[in-house]
Amino acid sequence: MIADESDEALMVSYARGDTSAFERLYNRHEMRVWRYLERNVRNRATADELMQEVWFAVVRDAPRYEPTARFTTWLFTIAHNRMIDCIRAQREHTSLEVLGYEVADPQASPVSAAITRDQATALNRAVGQLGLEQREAFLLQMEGELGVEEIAAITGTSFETTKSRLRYARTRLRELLQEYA
Amino acid sequence: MSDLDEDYRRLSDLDASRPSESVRRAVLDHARHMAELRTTQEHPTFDERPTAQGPPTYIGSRRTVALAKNTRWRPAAFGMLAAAALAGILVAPRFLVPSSTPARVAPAASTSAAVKDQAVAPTEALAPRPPSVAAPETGALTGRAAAPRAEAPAPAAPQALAKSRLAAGLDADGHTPLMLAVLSGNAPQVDALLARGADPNTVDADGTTPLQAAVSNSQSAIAAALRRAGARGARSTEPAPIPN
Repeated sequence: MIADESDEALMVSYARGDTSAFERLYNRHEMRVWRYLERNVRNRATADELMQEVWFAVVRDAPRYEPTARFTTWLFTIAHNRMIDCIRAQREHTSLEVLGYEVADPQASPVSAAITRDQATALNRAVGQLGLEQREAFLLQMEGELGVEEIAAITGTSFETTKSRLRYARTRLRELLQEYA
Repeated sequence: MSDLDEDYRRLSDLDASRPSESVRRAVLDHARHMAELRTTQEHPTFDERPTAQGPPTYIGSRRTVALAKNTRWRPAAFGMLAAAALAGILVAPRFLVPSSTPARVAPAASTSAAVKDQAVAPTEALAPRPPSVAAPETGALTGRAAAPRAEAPAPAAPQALAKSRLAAGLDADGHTPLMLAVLSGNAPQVDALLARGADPNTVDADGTTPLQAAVSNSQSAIAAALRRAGARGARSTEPAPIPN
């Protein structure tokens, strides 16, 4: 039995035509998918494009969705596929650029805005310094709240390799965040 | 939740970066549009009442509207229905004889299940892997609660385990100093530890060798240093050597 407000129930409701269910689902996962994409591709415009593609794919495949798996596993599988395709396409033309980020909250005071910007930028920089494979595994775990087995299935790697990537990512991030602190 | 997880969540909350409003609008508009389209296609309505504006209004997919407008198909449809009913009456008794070999039913049932599985699989190459495909390999993907892993320590064990690891020269997580250096990507430290006699083949608590960790994390320089020091154990992740 699926709880009424579970992701899976909302997805089934949307497949039957309830657009408010889709809106609730989108609001619930918007930022998680966004952070996963933006922190992987390191480019806001590209992340916007991918974000739209991912959710369009969710809309398109909604009638075929079956709630035998967690919705987030399905959602982040789509996001992973789109993101990898994008990175492969970019590598054919040019190397990936690491762009700067303006992340200050316009509502905050100048001092608190500077602190906020520094801390959030430190996190973005630290995550950005991870290798793509480690970064993606870590973001799938943190933003998708997926387990090692699920991440391994999505990325097409073994359980042990995924575990190793996660361990590397965590060790490296701890070091980097301490450096930036 | 570890300190790193908490830091990540706290700093992510501070991050004001978010998708463009235009993306949000486009996605929600598209979702509404597609839902309306599907509803219309599944439940087309046909209203023959004349309206003040002119011809009757047809609401539905192009094909259903065309069929609704064309009245010549009606006699043919009734004729086909009558023929089908007659054929059913004549042919059906042949299939109603009970089978003496019930075992023959099973393959048909499994075939229909397989056909059903294929029918629901997303068609596009980029579409997500259907859960039914991944389910046999990963219990977590089936939506069922994942069974606890066999290697998880018993609730009373962690302190004793940590003590024994520290006594063996490992840290509390079961890592050797060499493994920590590899996981940090610190090549000079790896070189220094190897030069001071660190065993490159000592496995950590998970049974992972330093070379396996270096290879799976694409640390080619460190992997080379480990191999020079006699490391083994990354065979499963490296391509097989080409025979001469």
